[in-house]
Amino acid sequence: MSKKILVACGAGIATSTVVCNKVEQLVKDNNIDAEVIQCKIAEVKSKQEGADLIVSTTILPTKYDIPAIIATGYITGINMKALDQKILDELNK
Amino acid sequence: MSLKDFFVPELLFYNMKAEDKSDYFTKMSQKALELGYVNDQFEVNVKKREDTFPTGIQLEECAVAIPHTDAEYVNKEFIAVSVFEQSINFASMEDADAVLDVKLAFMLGLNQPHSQLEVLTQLMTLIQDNDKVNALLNAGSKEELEKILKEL
Repeated sequence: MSKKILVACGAGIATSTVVCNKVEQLVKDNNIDAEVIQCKIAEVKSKQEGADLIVSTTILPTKYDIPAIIATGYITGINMKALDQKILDELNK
Repeated sequence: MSLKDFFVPELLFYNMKAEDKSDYFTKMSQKALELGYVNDQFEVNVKKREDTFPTGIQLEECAVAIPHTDAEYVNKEFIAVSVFEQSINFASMEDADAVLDVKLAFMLGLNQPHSQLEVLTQLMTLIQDNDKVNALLNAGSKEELEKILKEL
């Protein structure tokens, strides 16, 4: 079944753009059927229904019903492999 | 579009004197407003956003910040670069309680949310490159800073 991933940052304009691209590449490389949606963190609450995972570049202001991963590693370049794995593990659950 | 096309000489600052984050935001926003890059709502909104969603990033050797705000406050796209005379405290992007000493900041003025991938990717690649970040931090003058950014 196709997965739905929300990629969020504060404004939905800068860091989420980079992370969106990384996540899209990651799911493609691993043959995972997934839709990646870029949004503002404030929109996550209303968009989480039907989604499987939140990948955010910023602190999460609230708790969500679906798992959330903070992905600043894609911006700093630190521990990127571990981050890839964490996202894959979550999608493969 | 390439990253260097976004740098504007008037918005590059070496040894910038700013008392704190707020002072830096005021100075940069005023300058950008004066030059027509942003509208008069940019300052308040870039500050507001930084308070809610901080943009400090801890890299391997130092910390940088990439403040920005929504597209509607940007008239003309730019990336402003500041190397501070004294480090300024920014909160971390992943933990609002973590205080980072930021010596280098890239203020993003973007208004094309979904078409800036290339530019942003280049910026992220730049900040992940210790040698280049150190070169910017140690530029020594505004001219040198400009030269390094042009040659990226």
